[in-house]
Amino acid sequence: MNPARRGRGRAALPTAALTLWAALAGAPARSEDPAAPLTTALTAAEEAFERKEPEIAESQYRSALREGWLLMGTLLAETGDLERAAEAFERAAGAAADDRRARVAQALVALESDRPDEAAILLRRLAARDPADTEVRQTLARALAAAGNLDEAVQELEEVLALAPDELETLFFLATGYLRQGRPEMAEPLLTRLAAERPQAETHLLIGRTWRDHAHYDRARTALRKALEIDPGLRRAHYYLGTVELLAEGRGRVEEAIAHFRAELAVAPDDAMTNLYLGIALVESRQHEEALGPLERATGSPLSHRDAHQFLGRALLALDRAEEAVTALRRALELAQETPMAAPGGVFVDLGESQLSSLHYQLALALRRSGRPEEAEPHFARAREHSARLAESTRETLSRYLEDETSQSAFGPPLQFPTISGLDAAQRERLERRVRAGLARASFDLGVLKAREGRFDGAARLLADTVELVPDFPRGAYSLGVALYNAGRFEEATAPLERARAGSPGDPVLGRMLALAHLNGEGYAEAAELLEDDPERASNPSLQYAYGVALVRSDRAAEAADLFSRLIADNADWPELHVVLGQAAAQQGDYEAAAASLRRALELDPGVAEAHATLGDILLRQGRLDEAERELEAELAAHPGDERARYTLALVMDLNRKPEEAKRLLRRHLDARPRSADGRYLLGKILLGEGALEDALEQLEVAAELAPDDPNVRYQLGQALQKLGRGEEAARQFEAFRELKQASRRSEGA
Amino acid sequence: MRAGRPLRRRLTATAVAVAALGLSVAAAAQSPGSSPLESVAAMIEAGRLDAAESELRALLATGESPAARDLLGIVLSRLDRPEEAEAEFRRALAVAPELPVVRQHLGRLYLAQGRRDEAAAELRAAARLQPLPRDLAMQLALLELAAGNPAAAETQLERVASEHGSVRARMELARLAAGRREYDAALAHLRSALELAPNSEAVLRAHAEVSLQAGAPIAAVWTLEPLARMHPDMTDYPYLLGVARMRVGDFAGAAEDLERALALDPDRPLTLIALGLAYNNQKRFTEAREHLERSLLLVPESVEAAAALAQAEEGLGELERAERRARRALDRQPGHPLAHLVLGMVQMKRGAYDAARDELLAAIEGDPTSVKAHYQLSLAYARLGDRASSARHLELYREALQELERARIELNTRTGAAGSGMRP
Repeated sequence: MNPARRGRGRAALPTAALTLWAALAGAPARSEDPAAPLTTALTAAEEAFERKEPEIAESQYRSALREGWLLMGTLLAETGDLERAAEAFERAAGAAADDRRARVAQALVALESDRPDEAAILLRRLAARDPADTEVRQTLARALAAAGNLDEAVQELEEVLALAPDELETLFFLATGYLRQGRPEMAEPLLTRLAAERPQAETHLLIGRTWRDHAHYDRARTALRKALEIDPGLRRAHYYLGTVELLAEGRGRVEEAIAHFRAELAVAPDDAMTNLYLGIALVESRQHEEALGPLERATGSPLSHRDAHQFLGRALLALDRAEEAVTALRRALELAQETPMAAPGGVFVDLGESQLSSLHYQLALALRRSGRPEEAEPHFARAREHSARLAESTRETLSRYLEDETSQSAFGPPLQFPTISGLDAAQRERLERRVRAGLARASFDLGVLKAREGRFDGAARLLADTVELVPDFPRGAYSLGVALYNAGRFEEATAPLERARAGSPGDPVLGRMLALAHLNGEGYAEAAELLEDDPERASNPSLQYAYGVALVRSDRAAEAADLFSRLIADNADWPELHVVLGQAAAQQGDYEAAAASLRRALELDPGVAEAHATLGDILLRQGRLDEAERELEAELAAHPGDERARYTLALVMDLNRKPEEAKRLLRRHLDARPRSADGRYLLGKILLGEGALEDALEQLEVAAELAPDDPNVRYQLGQALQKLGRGEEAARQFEAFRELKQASRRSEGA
Repeated sequence: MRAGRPLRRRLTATAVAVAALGLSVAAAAQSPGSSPLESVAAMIEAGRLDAAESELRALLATGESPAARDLLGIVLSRLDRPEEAEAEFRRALAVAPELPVVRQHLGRLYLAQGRRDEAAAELRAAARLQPLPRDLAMQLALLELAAGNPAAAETQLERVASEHGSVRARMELARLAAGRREYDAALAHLRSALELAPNSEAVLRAHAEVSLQAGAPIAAVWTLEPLARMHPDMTDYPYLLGVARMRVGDFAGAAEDLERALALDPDRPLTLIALGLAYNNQKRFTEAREHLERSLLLVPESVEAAAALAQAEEGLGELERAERRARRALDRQPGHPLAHLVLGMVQMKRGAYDAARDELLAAIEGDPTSVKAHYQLSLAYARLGDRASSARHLELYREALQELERARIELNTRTGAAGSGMRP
């Protein structure tokens, strides 16, 4: 992060939220319910659904999602969680066709996160789509300026002004840009035009402040005096004039500054910053007694209380009121250690090291003068630690404050837009709950709509959002599980189905679906356990079959035998049943019976799944590689999605000295099943054999992560590391290999 | 418009279900002279059907009342006695043939029974008496379509669209117009549908598909871009987006979209072929070959894939192989412009300018806007000493190029792609 911005990092948050909400053009006005667009869209969606207009219903649900995520992002940005705010805005952008407001909001988050280049890319796209979008182009100019491309920023504003010459806001920003470029002669006619078209006192005040911020003090004085000429009671004019005197002339003009601050206080006696600056200026000019009043008033505002306490302490110390000085300085120190302080304009700044040291030093002096040298010592020590043995001069402090203040007008004044910042914590929490609930409802209804269209992946995405937003949303976990199941994402389906089942433990349908999800996701033991107690199993052959498959595949073939005998007696022409019988026989080593069952299955249905694959597997075990290859290829021709068969074929190819084919199959297998430890291991082993050491290592490392207890993986990984000259790491893997082998032998022995 | 067919099926199914439940008791009770029937209507609404039937029969015993008969018909259909219900509606119509609600109720009954022709006849008669309610008007439109009366269907659809703000009706109207190749009209209907449902996948998709059919790829990109963003799990959208971008010569953008589509479905031959073509046009021939070979494993009979692979091979300098493949493609599909272009390029490289000219002319015959073919042909004519023809094709090449450039600028402006890079 740019050190110059570091102090403003936190400060930017309130401004960010203001501006973010500004991005949400079309959002409700300040007095309206911020969640109104979300609820209106939800209501419209439901009405459209009743009118049998599903297209309108979908569109409105999507509008609801966009509005909800925009609001959620704004809430998050206001709490300073810019990362999650950016995620919310990304979701808003993906919710509806018009992504303008979401992209502008993302750009503003990027700007506030010190990533102006990213903001500029987003904004340029929007500006290219609609060159007449002055709001976007003004923000783009800000981003460009923040990225250090001031010339481009100015060019952007020149183009915007050419497109919309009556846009006085653009005119003002452009003038500011010229001033930042050091081209006051270009800025002057623009500001003159601004004053002519808006001849109010406030315009001159703004112009005066702008000249001041760019160190054109004479012009600033002229404009500010003009403002006072039009309206002698105008707020902030004397205040700015006071700061101009301090910034322009140095110590010699402090008295003039004091006069202006006093004049400002005549208009606004309680203005915290004017009281603070007057107090500091009076301390600076050693009018300590007079400084006490304004400084005491300034202690009442969070904008100024820390520094007011500090300077009050200094004034009291100078007046030999050491006890009171101790109290004030202690309070200043407490405040300094609590939170960053709001500086002028509502921007938080951290207290600098030197100022903190100065505070310790002054407190130490006050304590010593009040006869407490032992209490003073630690504060002297802290001051020494920071190498600031002498107090920072008042003048320096005052100048620094003013610099902080002038740095606010980066590219024009902060925009004044409706915000949701006016809410207290409880209201904010209620609003966030409402937004969550609304988003969950829209996601759920839209997810169900997509599921009805047979779009299960899309449905699952929306339903996952639902349960993320409101974990106990009615039917949320259940619907997500069903959508994932129907999308063929069985492993993923099990977790939400488990959650749903926990909520309705007696629901047999749910238990059955969970069992089938486990079965399809290769969780055979879990499937067998669930199906074992299914009340409908005895009367439902499909469930019996599923239970049998689960038993066979969880190495409980013997238990399955009886079950299958009964099933086969009643269903002799059921090809899948013969496949499972074949698999059960193969598992028990009876290859002859297995082959017979499998051939029978193929007679009944040549396209039956897994028959060729199981035959291939048997032939592989028997070392009949060419025949195994043919069977497995036949399986894949009929069922290209059978990844188990693809992996086995790769194994056969490798054993049959066809490494290229094996690699091709494995890469495809790993595209489909990136977490296949067997696939990674075999590919790594082949690559290692070919001398592609880095590639092999990559695969074997993933395999070891996926299957940490597989000794063969450890061995091959050790080999790869050794060949790469990484002996120590290799030794560790060989050691792991030995340990795993020993453990395996022990468990076999047991 | 592919989306139209399943949509229509869904509409029909929905309307039948509605018809089964939607007999309007209130409408019947409010028929002329029926105010004494309001208490019966309340009984029906409360589900006290047997009591309502007795009451109505008692009433009818005192004198004929078409409104009472209509209500009785409703009660009987709710009691699942459709034959008796039909008889009551018919008797009501015999007394008061101009009562539109009775015809509507009878139409609904026929719809629920799947008696489509009779339903159509009753609903037509009802529509002549007074405008049909939204759902029945949609039903009648679909019945007219099924009966081969598109004009009558459109009348109903236009009314539903304008009076009820129906997107469904606009989608149907667009489908009908697109079926007649009246793409401007179809797109106008879809644009007004988009005003009502700007985020609807079905409407956005229909707009993109009709735009592509109408040869308006930029308009297609305008709706495909949000579709691809809103539905990241769908392969179709980045694929179609890539195809649309290719049509305006944005091959780099197309390749990005097609790569996204391929990541979603690695074995989709159409994506592989389109990506191969996009790579060819960026002179990324090795990558093109890899993808096109894969596509041919999946669809060995594809002429498009073979011609594109021949182009990649020509780009890689494998002239013999490219020529063999292009000729095989032409055997399967004579006149294929890309295959002719490849052969033209091969002959140019061999210095056989006569043969090259002939192939390139054939390529232009198949695709008169081919920038490459015009350019190569201008070179071939120049080598053959025919300066006039060379200049003509050079001019055509420039025109085609300018057209592409214009389209690309428009595309960038509409999608914001121009803003993605730094300023020139």
